[in-house]
Amino acid sequence: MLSPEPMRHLTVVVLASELEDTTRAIARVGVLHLLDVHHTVEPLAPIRPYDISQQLARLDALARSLDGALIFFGVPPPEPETFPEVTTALDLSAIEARVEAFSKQADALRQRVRTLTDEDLRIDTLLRNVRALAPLGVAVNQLRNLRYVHLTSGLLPERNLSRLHESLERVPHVIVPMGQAGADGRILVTALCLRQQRDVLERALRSAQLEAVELPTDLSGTPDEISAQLQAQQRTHQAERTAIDAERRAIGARIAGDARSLRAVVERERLLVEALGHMAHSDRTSLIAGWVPAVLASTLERAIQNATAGRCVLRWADPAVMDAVRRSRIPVPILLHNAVLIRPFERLLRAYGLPRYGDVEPTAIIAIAFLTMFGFMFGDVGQGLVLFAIGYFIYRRMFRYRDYAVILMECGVFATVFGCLYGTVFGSEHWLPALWLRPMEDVGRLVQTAIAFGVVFLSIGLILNLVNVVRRRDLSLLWERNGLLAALAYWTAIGLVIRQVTGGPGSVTLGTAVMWLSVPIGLILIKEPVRALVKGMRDQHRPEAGEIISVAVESVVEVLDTVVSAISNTATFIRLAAFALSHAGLFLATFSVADAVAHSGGTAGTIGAAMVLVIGNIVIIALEGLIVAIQSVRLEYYEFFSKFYSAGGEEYRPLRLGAAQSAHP
Amino acid sequence: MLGDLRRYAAANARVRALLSTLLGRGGLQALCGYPSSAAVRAALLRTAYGAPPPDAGISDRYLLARVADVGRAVLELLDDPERAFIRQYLLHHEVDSLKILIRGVAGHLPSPMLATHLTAWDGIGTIALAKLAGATDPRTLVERLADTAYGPALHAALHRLDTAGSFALEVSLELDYYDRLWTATATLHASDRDRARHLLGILFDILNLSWISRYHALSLSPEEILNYTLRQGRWITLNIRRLLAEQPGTQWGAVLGSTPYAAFLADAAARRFDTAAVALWRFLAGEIQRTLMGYPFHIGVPLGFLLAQELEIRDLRVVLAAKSIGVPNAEIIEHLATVRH
Repeated sequence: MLSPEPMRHLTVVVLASELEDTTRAIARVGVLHLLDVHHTVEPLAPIRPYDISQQLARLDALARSLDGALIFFGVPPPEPETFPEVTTALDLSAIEARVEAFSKQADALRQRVRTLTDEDLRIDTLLRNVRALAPLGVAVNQLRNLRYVHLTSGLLPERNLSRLHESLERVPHVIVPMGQAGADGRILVTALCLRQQRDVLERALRSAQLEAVELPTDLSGTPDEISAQLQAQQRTHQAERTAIDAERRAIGARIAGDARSLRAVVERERLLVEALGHMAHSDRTSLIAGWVPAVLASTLERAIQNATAGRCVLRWADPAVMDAVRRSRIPVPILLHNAVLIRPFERLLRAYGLPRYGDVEPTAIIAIAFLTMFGFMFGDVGQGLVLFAIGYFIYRRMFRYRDYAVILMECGVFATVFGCLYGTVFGSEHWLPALWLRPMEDVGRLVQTAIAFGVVFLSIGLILNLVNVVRRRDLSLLWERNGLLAALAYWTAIGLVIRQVTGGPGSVTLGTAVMWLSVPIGLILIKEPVRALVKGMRDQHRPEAGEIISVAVESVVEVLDTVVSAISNTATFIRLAAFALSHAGLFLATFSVADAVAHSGGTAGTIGAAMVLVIGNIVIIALEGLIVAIQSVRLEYYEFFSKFYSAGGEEYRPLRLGAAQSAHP
Repeated sequence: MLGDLRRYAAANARVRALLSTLLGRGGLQALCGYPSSAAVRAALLRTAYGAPPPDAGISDRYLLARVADVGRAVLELLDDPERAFIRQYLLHHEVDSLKILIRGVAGHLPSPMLATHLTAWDGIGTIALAKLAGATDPRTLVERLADTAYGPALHAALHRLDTAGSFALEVSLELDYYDRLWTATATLHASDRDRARHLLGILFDILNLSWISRYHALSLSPEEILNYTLRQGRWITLNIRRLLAEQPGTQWGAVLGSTPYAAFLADAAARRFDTAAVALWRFLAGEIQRTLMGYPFHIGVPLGFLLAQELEIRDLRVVLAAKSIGVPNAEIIEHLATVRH
């Protein structure tokens, strides 16, 4: 509770010949968060890294080929959970041969499809050209075999027509435009000239950007007849495509098991090779280092001992005594470990950044605070139950969103509880008595409660900051921002306010307030100058006037900052009451509209009013629910976390084959 | 008259101010007097061209950036249709960049290298040239340009890519652009239209003459030459184009007898056209000079200024290139087109 899972540092030395078996054993247990030994361990003898680049390249090539084949044959990729059990070393060459066989089958089919596609493209062009010639009504082979006349047909930009005529003045010729220009501004033209002048005509046509219409050489007949023949070819190709597709699916079904298994094996092997990249070796031994959750240390130790038959050296260390950890040279990974109902809120923490090892892990606090604030702002029995039902539905039907479902159900419970306190069911205050207060009728108490909640919440933040200071064993942090002095000032001010509120007017005079507050604020004021003085004495350096003024100004600014932020951080919790009121206000508006519709008369009015109520509730649940959740997160991130939390922790990712890398032990 | 005043008063004032930033023939001749290309570059930094951006040096991009700047300055003070016309005129730089892009993509030039040859025409251009530099082949490039004004012309020439290479795309792009530019003059007021067509007509004539000369060198047929040249112009009619296209060996002076160009090209056979071309540019510069004098409220003033600026940049390129290979000063000055002092 309030701490991440304790970790232990492990350094293992094994015989180089047994490294592969050891790595597989470690991966099988799946609890070692590997460290790059080159940067984290100071070996007694020279060590060298493993060159994994070639192996990685081979495995990546295999993965690409397999992925290509899987996609082509329509085989879904393997789920990580189905990765085969780690056994012995793999023969990569054998795998490559099998993968090549799949790829060859895929390539052969692809080639057939490509040929068909190219052929279809050719037919499409021919069809377009032949259709363009249809108005001539002449057999295509006749056009090809004219004896004295050269004839060319093609598509010409319409605006180049007059330019073409101008250029061909010295050559007897005929240019016949056919039909209208197309969308691209080009028009079909047929140009004729004497055969001996064909070169002149052709060069002129080309320079006028005529795109010649290709005539099919292997087909004869009129354009309409040729079109029919080409369409028949297209139908044949379509049938061939269908056959290829059936063959593809059949092969896919046949190889699915084998291909998926191989893909999983390749993925698994890649992980192991990557792990090797974190390790190092001398001539005869290999070095492995990493972090293990303390509770699982003995399990891992046994596995390594078994894999090496005891031919290994294991050295365990506690992070608290490790110099490298204290100097932040080696980060200790963070494994969050919370109860089932709290665990979904770890997402909020991850979104902000994981805590540093040793610091307070506040998931439980933020979960309770979030739910309380949500319930406070969204209190309604009916809508709470609806939220719970939606959450339950998602929990049962959509496994991937299980975390959100739990949060939704919990929000529903807290909204229901606060609904009972407010006596509200779907906005109606007639069905239940209010166990505490009705927001619209007791605004003052609602606001006071919201501020009181804020005070408690912020105070927890200040306390957690002190806990962090103690845990880090760096008492100098006590005097920093949000440290002990700021906490004392805040609590003194809060005490004075409570005294004034409970004791009535005049119970706290200005003099009393100044007297009490002058102690912590005075300490904040003199803190920096004293520190500068002490440092000066230690360094035998007499501070100059400029330095003293600068330190004094800094202290005044810090006091102002402390006072202003304390007031604003507390006052901002009024939004809890404001949103609770706006929730009730939205219901009021919905009921008013429903009333107006109901009074419009008859059955239609009643049905209309019911619809307004239903739609109003849906809108309130969706819109207000979202806003309230955002406000709760905002208060936690900006007001609470800013008091004590510093992210920067590294997530625990053990070497594990198959399942998710950050699973709980 | 009052309408002209309203349309051009501000633009004319801006152009007059900008004209003073041109180096003029005197400034260019002074640059020729510097001992080396490096000295010319250093001297140039002290002019309106100013310091180049850190990554550019004195390159085409740097010089064209000046055109873009003055172009934007002129556009700011014009309203449509004059603004649209001038913008359309300035787009010939975008067309030039697009041609570079097409050639680069066809030659598989790496996109970062290609991007260094492209000039950004912010506020004037219609396409994001730098993004297009990532195209892997000309077909992809044409696809990406499908929805732009250049799309149809490029698409119509795409089928010739395999046989004619990037030339097919470039020539189609250019003919289409100049055709649209000429059409844009139709949107201007009558008096402006004539003035714009006078200057553009001379420009088109020069382009046609230089293209015909080049196409002869490439052994294109007369029909191809006619199809690859502009149909509009000031004095170069269809008949003259045809004569020039059909008779490559003819002395051009005879064919051009009825035009003002005859005097400049009297001795220039087609194959020596390039050396005589400077006279044509100087003729255009003279016409610009005439346009900028006299009645000031017409389209000829902004158009003439932009043409003058571009001619000056042409001359600057000549000076920088010639200086870098040690051409004598007198010879460089012979190749300058700018006439305005």
